[in-house]
Amino acid sequence: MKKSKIVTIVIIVAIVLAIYLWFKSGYNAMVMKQEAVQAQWAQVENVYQRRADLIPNLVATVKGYAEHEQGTLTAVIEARAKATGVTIDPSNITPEQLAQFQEAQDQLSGALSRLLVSIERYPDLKANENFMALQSQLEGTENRITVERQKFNETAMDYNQYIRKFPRNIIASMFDFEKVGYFKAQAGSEVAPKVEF
Amino acid sequence: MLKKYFCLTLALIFAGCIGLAQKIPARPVPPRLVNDFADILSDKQERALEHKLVAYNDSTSTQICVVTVTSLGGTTSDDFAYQIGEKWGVGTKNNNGVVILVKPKTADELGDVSIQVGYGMEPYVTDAVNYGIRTKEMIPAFKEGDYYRGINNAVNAIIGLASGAYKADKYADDDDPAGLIMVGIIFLIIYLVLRAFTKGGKGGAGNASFWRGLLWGILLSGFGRGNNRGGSNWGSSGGSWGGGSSGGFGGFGGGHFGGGGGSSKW
Repeated sequence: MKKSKIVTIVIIVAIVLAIYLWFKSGYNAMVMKQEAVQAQWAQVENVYQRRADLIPNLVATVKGYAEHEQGTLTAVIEARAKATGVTIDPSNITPEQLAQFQEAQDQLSGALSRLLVSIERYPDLKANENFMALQSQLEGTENRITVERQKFNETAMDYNQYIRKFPRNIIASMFDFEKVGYFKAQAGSEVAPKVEF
Repeated sequence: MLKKYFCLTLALIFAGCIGLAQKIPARPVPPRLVNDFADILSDKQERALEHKLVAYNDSTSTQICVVTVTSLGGTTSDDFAYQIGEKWGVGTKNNNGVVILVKPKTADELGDVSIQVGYGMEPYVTDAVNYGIRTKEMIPAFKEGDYYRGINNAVNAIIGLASGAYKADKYADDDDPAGLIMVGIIFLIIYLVLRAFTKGGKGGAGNASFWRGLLWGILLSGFGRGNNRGGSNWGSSGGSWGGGSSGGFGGFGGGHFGGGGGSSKW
């Protein structure tokens, strides 16, 4: 009688301990993966910010040479203002928010590529040292954006897969680990400014 | 019937995976910094470049990797060079790697050169400078068909730009400041305890001197261990590269790339 009681207690304790350990490892891994997603998101914002920072300089340089491109320049400035206006709370990167962010940035990409195409008509500007430096920086920044977006999608996929798999999704839903969004490739308007020399 | 289709699909997926993997050449074994897959450099030129780059890697830990290919496998040269950098792990954990990728000009295709720099090299080889290296140092030589001169010029330029940026020993002993502060605090505590013992120990001389000796012993052995650590780190980091050709390049150190840099065609 006494012995069976002890056995029961031991079994209960063992089960509780097992559940605790399972929760602990699952929860901690989710926290780690979520942190990785947020760190990568900061990188994505960095490279987009880098592009936004280049634009005032680019606009100022182009203005001096290409007076007839006022409309295109204004479009770039407006798209930049819009794009920098859309920010995401890194602890809550929902697919909807990410789509909104991407749309604003893609519009800026589109405006920029139209500007770079129109610049083809101004050989003086194209030969300008300052402009060539800016263009190479812009090119490098577009590369960085591609790379960081790709890395973000990889990190996000790792996290999403982890939290959505059964039975871990129980822990995820208990502690509000939400699925994060992805960047979509080439959404029609998104054509990175192709810089040809 | 269904099974047949299933097998076929599986085979196609498998083939697709292999196809993707083949796009980027596998990391060379033994590791080399100059990988002339397109065979546009003579053996002598390759050796000269390799020698220079290995020496630079030994003294600064910065890894400049030169790759030439005949085909970009359908992607851009920037992406190709980035993937080589990331997959081979060019650079150390300071991310101080550079990949110079050259696709020679052929009768029906333009030549393409990309210089991708690791995160840690971005402040030294900026995009504008990178563009200058490509258009002023490399392409004029490439147009004359002198690939060695173009690549060598670029290597020299990058070596000049990044001189003093990283030191080889910086990689081996990377004691973070927080760790050093902790060690300092521990020593301070031991010292204070020791002083307390020394003062309080005047009465029972024999016992106190035993404790004093023990504590000093711990303190000194701690010092000894602290000094040794740098040394053993050196050894282990050297060992982990192992298997390189004698006197040659030790191996890639897992650097990361963020797409910094650009490409030019001619």
